[in-house]
Amino acid sequence: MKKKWILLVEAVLLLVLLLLTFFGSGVVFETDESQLLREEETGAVVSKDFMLSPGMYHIVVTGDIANGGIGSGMEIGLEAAESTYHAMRGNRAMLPAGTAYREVTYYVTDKIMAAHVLIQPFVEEDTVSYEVKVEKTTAGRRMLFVMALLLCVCLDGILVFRKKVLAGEVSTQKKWTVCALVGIWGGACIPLLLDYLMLGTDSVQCLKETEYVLRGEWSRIPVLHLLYLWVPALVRWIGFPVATAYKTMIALSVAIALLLLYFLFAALEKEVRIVLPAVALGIWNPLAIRALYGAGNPGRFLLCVLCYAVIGGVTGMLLRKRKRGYKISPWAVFAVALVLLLQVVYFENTILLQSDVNYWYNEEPFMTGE
Amino acid sequence: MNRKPYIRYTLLGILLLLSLLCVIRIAMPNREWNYNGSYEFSKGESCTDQAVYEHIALGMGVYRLELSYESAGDTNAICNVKDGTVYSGGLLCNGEHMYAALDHTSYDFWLFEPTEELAVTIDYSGQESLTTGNLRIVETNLLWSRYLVILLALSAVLLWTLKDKKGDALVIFGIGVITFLASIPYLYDGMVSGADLTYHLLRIEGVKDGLLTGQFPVRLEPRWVFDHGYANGIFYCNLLLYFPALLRMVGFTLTESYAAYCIALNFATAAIAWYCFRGMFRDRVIGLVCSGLYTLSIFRIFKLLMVGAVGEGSAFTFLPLVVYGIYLVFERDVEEQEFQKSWIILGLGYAGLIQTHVLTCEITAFMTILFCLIYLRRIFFLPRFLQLVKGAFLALGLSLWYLVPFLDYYLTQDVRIRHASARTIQDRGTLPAQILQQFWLGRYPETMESGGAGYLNPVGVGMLLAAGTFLFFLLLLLGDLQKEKDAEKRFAMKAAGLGCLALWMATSAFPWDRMQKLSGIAATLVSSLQFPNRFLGWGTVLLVTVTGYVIRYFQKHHKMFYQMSLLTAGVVLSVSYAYEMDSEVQQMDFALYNQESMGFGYISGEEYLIYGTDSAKLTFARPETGENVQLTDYAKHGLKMEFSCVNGSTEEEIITLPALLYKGYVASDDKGQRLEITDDGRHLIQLRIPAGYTGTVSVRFTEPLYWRVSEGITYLTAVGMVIYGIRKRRQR
Repeated sequence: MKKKWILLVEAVLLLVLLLLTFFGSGVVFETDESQLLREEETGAVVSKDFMLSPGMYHIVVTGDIANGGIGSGMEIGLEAAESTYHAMRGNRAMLPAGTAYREVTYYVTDKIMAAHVLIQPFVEEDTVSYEVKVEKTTAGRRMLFVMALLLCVCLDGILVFRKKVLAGEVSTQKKWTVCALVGIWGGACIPLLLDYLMLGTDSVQCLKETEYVLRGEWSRIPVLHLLYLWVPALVRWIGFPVATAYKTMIALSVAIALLLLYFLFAALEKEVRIVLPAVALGIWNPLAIRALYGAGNPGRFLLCVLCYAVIGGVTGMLLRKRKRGYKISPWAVFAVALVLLLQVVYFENTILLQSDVNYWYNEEPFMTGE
Repeated sequence: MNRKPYIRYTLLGILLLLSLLCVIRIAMPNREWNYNGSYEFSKGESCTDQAVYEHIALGMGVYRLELSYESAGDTNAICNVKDGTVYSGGLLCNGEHMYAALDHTSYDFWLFEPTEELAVTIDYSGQESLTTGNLRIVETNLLWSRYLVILLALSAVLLWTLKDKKGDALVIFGIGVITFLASIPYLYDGMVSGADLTYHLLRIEGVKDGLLTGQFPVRLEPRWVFDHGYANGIFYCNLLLYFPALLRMVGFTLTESYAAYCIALNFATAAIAWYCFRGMFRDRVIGLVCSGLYTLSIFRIFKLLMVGAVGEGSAFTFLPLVVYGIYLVFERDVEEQEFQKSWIILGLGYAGLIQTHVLTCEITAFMTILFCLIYLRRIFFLPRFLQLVKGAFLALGLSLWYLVPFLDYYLTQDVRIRHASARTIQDRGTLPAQILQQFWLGRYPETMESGGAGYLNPVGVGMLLAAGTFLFFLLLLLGDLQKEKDAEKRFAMKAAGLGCLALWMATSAFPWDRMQKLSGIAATLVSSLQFPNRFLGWGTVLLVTVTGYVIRYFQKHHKMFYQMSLLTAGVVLSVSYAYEMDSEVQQMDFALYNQESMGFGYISGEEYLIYGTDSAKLTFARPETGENVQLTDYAKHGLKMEFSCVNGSTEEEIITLPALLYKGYVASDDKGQRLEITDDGRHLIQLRIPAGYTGTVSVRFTEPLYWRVSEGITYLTAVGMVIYGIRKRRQR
């Protein structure tokens, strides 16, 4: 009865959040070039201050091309003299000359009493004619709804699992197998706990291709990349920042690879003491982890895992008859697991300590210049 | 067969005989060498290692060098002692800068090999004029006094080994191994250069200088801020630093004294952690594992070794005592013997924290309040409440000698620390990924202000403790702990919750900026924290408790997992530590032998200067007088300044002395007349000299009577505790 009540409360909460996603958008500030103030020291022009509440915003720039538009181009962004830590999250956009319309995304996580639009023109004396609007979108509420939904699903899932364990519906071995799988997944995802984007050599290409998916420029994307690009594209479409979308893709890639390996090896081998280290090796091996973080290429990571799965599967089938009746020592499993864990943690620690800091929230840092 | 330890007795005899020889040598008179001469450096022509005196023949010993000079500028030149003929490490000296206001340089050097080629050299910048004069080298007893201390320490260890230790060999060996592992970075002739290291080394030197100039306890470090006297000892308790300061006084170099202090600290931490966790889990092996996890924890090593945060690193020694005390008060049965001593453990823990690092103590008070809220019902049970009250009074009694001057100054002196509410700290928080870092790698920590990747130091509790906590939550969630009803489980649950809270508070994800905006008090408290990662100290000790409980659970129910967890702890700690030993951090080291080599000006954040003091304008200086005042025979010894003065005018005149004006300075003359002390505007001591005045004036720092009373109470409390301990021991 109590659980039904909890589910009901959850459902009502989610329904309310869902309904709220349809409201709350609107223009919070509007100005044109004549109302902007010039800062003598920097040459930048700034708008009057306005208040921002938590949510996702678009700075909308509309240039009147016939009367000069945005001149020779400019850099535009939101700023606040005083705010709490990372309350405003966004990257400034570079608008080239001739831009007639552009939206720049910003996220606000805490109330900001005095924000302003900051524009840095490339040439100060240009004749310009443009309008700037700051619009609040419903994406902020949409993100809240999705986060609440995921949280409820996770918590309910854990509770259901716990209930089944306590009722004896899940065996002890199964229980610890699930925990070990979660542990392997968690071990591979440690670098995602950075609050910024840690880029590999191919990450920017991946981010760009996600943007092409969102823009519908299908011809610029290799078909096989769509196998995983739909994840960040979906997350971005909901409204989440670039970094979140990228991290979600990595986390999901690892989870999918993990499940694939587990079900494959579990079908070939019943001894969980062999299956789990084999799965851990498939995910934590230097080649796969390097592809995931060093290269930032989920495609190559999945390819590594698939190759490993094929080799592992064939080996498993070949050895199936020979090792029947053979009992593997738990100490051997422990030793393998410990070595694997130490090497993956060491590698992850290395790349964490050497990472460049990229607070990327919108597409501006990697799409500018196209 | 019960063999008599003849060899050890023989060794003991030899050691004592050698000690006696040292005493005899110390009693003998020391020699002195005087060299006359002068060397004028050409302005505009810089030079290095210019010998002003050469071919000096000296035997082994610690010597004091005094070279007279006239310099037109500060830090214009460095005077040093060089000798290319002695072995590397045979001559220890960093030299000293030369200052315009001083007429001679004076510092110690250590010579471990007789030589005939010693040279006194000058590195000259060429910017201001410089002329060196006569040289005086004085032999000291410091070489023999340091040998004496080493011999007596070895004798004490030998004596201790002769005692019957009733089969605690495993524990002694374990604590020894943990101490050794934690102390490897201190077993070479240098120091890993941390951001705070110089500041704490100057604290040690400050205590030494204070003691040598007759201050006890040392409140104001006399030579700090270029001989102006700095109130560091009032605000930042230096109780534990008396040990390295005493080592300095008996002739050890600064590097050696600091290393000895850190090794002693590691030993104390390992031993105290073992005692607390053994008591908590009632198992000496788990006590040892937890001691290892705590003493070798990532955050403790990061703070003590890589940052050189001696205060915070020292405070970690006492955290397990507070946790164990809280556990005993709230979880143990009131009839148990351990419960009866909980107030002592809690009191000692708090006293230790107060007297090592006030900020850690603030965090500890916050955590204690949270524990009290969780155990709200148990607080209202009189015996438990009484233990808390007794513990609080014990901590207060033991700390009163420090707290009274601290509060006195904090409330009456407008020091800079009171104006620190504007600094935000959330951007200095750690990232969740950092919390899990286990390996150190070859990367030297950059400053926190550098931003970006500079934040990515290995600041966290490490993978091992995180894994232990994860396992605990799994066991709890999946019903494995349902049958466990013991006190340890209840406490581990609370420790896990509060430990996770501490980790969250250490990250930039915790809303510190919002909290800071709540009120003025909140702003001051948050701002004074400086770094949210300070919460990782509590995070570490609580997660060690949780991990200890998981190991305890495995010990009871899954022997194999228990063995595996012990092995994992050993391997992970040693592997990560081995990397740390091999890292580039070791290359960022330096060796300092005395205070002169560090200079006298660095005061970190300048928190204890009077608000408005311009530290950039402070350097060695002579008294400033009005035109009509004649000042002669000026001498400054520690915090005491003496001079004769004549005010020939018909008006009151002023004399400004080179000492920072803090409460406690008194001026009087040879006739017993008190002179008025005022602030000169730069927060230096200014004396008002009446018209026509003639006399010898003495200005000195004197502790108020109520400070002395508070010291008396602390002595009484300490003596009372010793007597109580002896009586309890006899009763048992």
